[in-house]
Amino acid sequence: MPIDFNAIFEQLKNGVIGLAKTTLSNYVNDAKTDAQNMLNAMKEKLQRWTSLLIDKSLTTEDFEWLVNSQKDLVEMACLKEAGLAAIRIDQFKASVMNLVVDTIFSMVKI
Amino acid sequence: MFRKPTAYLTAILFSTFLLFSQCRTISGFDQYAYTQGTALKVDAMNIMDKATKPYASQQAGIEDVTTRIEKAYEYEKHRPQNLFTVKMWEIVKNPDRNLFGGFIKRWKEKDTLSTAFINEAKIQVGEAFDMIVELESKKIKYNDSKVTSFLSTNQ
Repeated sequence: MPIDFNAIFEQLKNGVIGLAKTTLSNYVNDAKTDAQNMLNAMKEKLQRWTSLLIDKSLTTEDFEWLVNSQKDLVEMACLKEAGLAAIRIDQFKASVMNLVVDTIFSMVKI
Repeated sequence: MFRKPTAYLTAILFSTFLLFSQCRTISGFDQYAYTQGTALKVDAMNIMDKATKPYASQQAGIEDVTTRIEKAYEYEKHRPQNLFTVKMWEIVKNPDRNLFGGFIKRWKEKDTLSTAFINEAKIQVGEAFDMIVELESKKIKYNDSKVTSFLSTNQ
């Protein structure tokens, strides 16, 4: 059976471009949402800790410890985002592999 | 070079499979690591609740949790391409930072801690564990069955 390699590669090229666009745009949207959620949560915590400090439920030392714990959480969030970005890269690679397999299967009908 | 078109396609598929399976950027999903992360979060929250009592009276329970966290960390350290998770565990367990390790250090220094402080610290430490677990849960569950079946039937 003759195989049209040009058609296969053209279909693969279009598929890979589409995948790259979707992967990147989804990742940017997710990262923005995560950052915004973290900022909102941080604001609420700082307000609550300040109230607890004023009514002496927390000591100054407690308050400082909690503020520093928030710094550690921000560092954790950066590591998590970096990990998620790495996962996206691997998902992209896996999608390319599936695209190659599916395209060849569909055009060659093995 | 190739006697039939399917041999050529098999070569393309085999190369693609090799290329993408050999150069992963981050480790794949690991059920054991995920289960450990969720279980340790519950244990850490439970022991933190007891910080209104003197440190010495809870020492056995504290050591049990910290030892299990060390074991989980060792497991993560030996998984390939797992740098981000390892760094996250290092922050959580470090006594000189302000998450679980730092909480235990503070408990030891002060002997008892206030309920208000414990409640707020639990939120912080809980979020840290959640981040580790969330990252693990989003890792890829690899399944190469389609490619391996194609390769085995076209050799």
